[in-house]
Amino acid sequence: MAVSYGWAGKVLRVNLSNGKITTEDTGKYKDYIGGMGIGYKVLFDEVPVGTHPHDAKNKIVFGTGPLTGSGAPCSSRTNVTSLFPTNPKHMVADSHMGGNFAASMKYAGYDAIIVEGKARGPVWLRIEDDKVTIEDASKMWGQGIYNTTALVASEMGKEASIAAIGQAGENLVNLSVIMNGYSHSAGGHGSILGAKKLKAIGIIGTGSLKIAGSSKELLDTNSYMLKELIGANNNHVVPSTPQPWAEFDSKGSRWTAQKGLYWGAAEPPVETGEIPPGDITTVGLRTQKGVKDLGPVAEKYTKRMGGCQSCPIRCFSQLEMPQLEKYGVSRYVSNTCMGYSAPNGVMIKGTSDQFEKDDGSFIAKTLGSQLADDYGVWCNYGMLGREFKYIYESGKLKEVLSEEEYNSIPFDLLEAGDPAFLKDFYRRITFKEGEFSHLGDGTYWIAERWNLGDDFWHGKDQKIWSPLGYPVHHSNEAGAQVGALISCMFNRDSQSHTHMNLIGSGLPADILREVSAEIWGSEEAFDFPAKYTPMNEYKAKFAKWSIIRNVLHDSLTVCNWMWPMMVSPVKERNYRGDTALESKYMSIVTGENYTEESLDLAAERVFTLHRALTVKQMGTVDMRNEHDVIMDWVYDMDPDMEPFTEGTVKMEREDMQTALTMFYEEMGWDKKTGAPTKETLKRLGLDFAASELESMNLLP
Amino acid sequence: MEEKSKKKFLERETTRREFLKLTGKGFGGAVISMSILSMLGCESEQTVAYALPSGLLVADASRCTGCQRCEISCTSIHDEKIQPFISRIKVSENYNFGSDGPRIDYYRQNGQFGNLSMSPETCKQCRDPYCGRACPAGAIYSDPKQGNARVVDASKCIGCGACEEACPWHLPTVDPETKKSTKCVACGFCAENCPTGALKMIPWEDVKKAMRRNGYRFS
Amino acid sequence: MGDHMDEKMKYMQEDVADFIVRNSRDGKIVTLAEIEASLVYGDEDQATDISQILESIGTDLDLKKIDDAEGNTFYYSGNEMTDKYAGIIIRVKDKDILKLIGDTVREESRRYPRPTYVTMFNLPPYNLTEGELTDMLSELSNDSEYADLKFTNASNGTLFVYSNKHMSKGYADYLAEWIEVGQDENP
Repeated sequence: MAVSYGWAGKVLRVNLSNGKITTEDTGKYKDYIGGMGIGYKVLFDEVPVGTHPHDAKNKIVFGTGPLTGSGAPCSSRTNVTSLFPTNPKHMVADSHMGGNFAASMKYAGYDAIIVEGKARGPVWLRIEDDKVTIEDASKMWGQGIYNTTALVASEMGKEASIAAIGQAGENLVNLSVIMNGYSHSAGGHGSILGAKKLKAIGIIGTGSLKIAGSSKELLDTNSYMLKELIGANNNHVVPSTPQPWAEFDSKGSRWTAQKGLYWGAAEPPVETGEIPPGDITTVGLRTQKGVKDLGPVAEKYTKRMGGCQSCPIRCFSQLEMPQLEKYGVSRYVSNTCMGYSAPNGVMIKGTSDQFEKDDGSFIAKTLGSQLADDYGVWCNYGMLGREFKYIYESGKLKEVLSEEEYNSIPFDLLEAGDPAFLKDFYRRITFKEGEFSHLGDGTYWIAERWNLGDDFWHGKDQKIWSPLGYPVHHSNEAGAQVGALISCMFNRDSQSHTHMNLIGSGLPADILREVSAEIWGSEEAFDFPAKYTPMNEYKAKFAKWSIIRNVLHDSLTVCNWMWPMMVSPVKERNYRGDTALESKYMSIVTGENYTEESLDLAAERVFTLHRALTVKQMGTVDMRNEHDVIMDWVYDMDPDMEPFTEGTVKMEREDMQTALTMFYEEMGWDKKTGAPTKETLKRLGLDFAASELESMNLLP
Repeated sequence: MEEKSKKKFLERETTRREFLKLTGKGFGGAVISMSILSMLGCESEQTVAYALPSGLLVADASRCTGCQRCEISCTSIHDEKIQPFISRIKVSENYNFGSDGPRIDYYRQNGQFGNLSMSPETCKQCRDPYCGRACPAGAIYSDPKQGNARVVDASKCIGCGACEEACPWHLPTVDPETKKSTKCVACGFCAENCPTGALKMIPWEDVKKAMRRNGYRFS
Repeated sequence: MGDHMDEKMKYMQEDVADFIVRNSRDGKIVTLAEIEASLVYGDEDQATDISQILESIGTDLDLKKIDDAEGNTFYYSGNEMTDKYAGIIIRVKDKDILKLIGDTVREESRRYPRPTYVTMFNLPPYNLTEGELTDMLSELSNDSEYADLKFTNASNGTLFVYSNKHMSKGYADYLAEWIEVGQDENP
């Protein structure tokens, strides 16, 4: 076989029904780059419409791309594609995890792992370079993710990188995760592995990722990115406090490093200090995420920061909180963002001080993180807590639970703000105990089961974005129509951070508007926060670009919380980033001549394939009215204020329809329905999709 | 001279001489005294330092966040490919469960699934190296051009793995693709690319400046 | 002896530069006297012209000067400290606090746009004590010169100040709430 640069060159296919293990050439997926692109292609070609996610006919694809493991910063993301259990029509969706797993796949020689069929009893998959075997997992079945990982490692060796499901996935809880590295989880796909009886995948990769260009070029590019372009988590490019070197600062910035702020539980404590741009050897101190996510009380419990292979931005806080042992969980905690805030959201009556002043939510977040991560429970981006709040406060819970079950739930702990409530909460969901546990089914399914009406779906507090049962995720509050459009386009909560990283970068609006003009053609692409203007074509371009780059990153794979580099912390660059950086890396790593345009086109192909697959799975071309629908609260919030006035992020119904039309036009989709046209499918080389949709009468 | 200031002067004089010796002769198991390290702000007991031709290499495991950029940097510069398995500094193999691997009480031991402590392992450039002694082909030698680092002569290496076996930390690794042993040459490139300064390369000029700031004279 | 002098000059240049750079990094501007006092070379004679040294190192560290109201000159490295930051230090030294707060708030309301959380003025380089800040804010509310400056609270109690020349009350309310609460709820 010829040497493959960037790509490992092989896709591993494992059929658990008949035990067949084969490999195929990655070449046929190259037009889709990798990761997400491979996932959609496999699902489009191989999984019949109407398949239940937990059926043997469903497949799950662990995808990496040509930059995964290449040493490009932030490049160990695993993109997981399969049918999505929480989605009402079980349409395709992705979940994602960082950690070491993706890079290990590459070093073992695989760009993707396709798992199909269903094992008769519990198994785990053992991958040591070319040697792949299906092993008995009966002694792991029933264990949490942490023990499972230790058991796999004790058989394979300490160096194995391991992804596993917990009891939630085994028990086919829709809200369940696949996890590697203690806290890096792909949310929403855990039960797919549970249904296949696949408990874990362990990988040892001793091989190399080969780069076509010289290592000097690669290292120079790394150095350029780390010295001149990269900021803090979410590529926030200004510090959170005024600092001598910085012209700008922003309180909400994740660039929290400052004088007198420590990793307080390190021995001896490590001061973050001020971390101006330009020095590679301090970049990792820039984001003290412990205090950002958990409040000032977390500083003294912070051992260090952590994160994914190859990423210099350490966005996971790693804590030692001895008192957690009182709840029967480990004192060592690792997580970030929603992994912490979701369990706190379950504490719907607030939290009270437990061991010291103001530590209530800190304990809820860290304890909840331990429980949810070991069981492998997902939160549907915070919906779980809001749904619980709704059914508890509306009295619905009392209605749908037997008296006996209702009384068995320790609501006294909840009312007292005692985080110990979380132990009971997550156990019930994980082990499917009683009616209550259906909270783990997901938004749409509980609404069906418990007959929740408009009040639930359209109420502002629930923050439900779509009738497909997923919530706001950087939506109308993030760039007006831009965020709103992005949030309509997937089959789960949107995972695009492209737009959010610009909006949240911390730079003043005048600079962000200039940057917007340079990328999308007009300053009008960028609205001041909560000072919105009616739709225009530049916002449609901004929305398209955001999605395309998100899709590109999940195909390459690099982290869309950090990429693309739209802005920079460096004054001498006038705070300008470099949106061609992905293509620079791709050209060096693969030796082929990639440009921004050629990569964006490939990503447009991947995203349009997703849309075509969505049309196919929904059995309708009317995406506008069946898919791209927004709940009423987005239009009816702030009743005293008009849309497009200062201080509200309220959207306007007609304007949003205009926004959809403009977006469809940008994508080359049918203006009326929002379905991809035959011409566009052909332009993007998706002829197979065009013919299939045509045969199903699903072309607009 | 007062007794106190005389003592201080003598301490200074010793440290100054130590410094000049280090910068002049390179290393080979040389121990760096705390008096030099504390001037550079290294007060951790976990800190170990090695003198390399280009400066002082300081390693502090408590600052290691497990990002593995050292392994990436090491193999890109030395092997023109990315291959953590043969990296001369080892982080990923100890990432989940520390250097000893998973034990029954893994949740208390080193590693991401334990006490969250990383276990980066670096070559000690032993004065009397196990790897070199074990090599049946005499392929591991001390290279004066590289500050007396113990390096592998690839033309002599037969890929038998004896060096890897012999090293108490199993740091030399035979590359499964080239069948040649890879071993740290003390270039310091990993340190230049460590984003949290868990490995830090302090150029001799900066060490000198810090010493002068503390009243040491070199002229 | 000449060689010795050259070498001494060289390391004095290095040390002066180093002193200014370190202080700038640390958020401090320094006087000539402070620079001089920093140069300790054991028992050796120190008679050297510092201003001559300053001239010779100027470009490397982008040496900058700034004067306070009394005409004292301070030095800092433009590579390490912005002019804005040095300017704030001087205005704090000059006790020009009220106007400094007013100007800062107006600029933030205009440019970002955002209301300013008042405890920012407790942080360096402002360094107001809590008492000083309370006094300043009440002075601000009573001074017709600053009639455009208004206050708003986020739901977590954080107090913000903004200029209504540049943003409406509703807008300031929204942004304050977003900064303090909304942002964390949408991670």
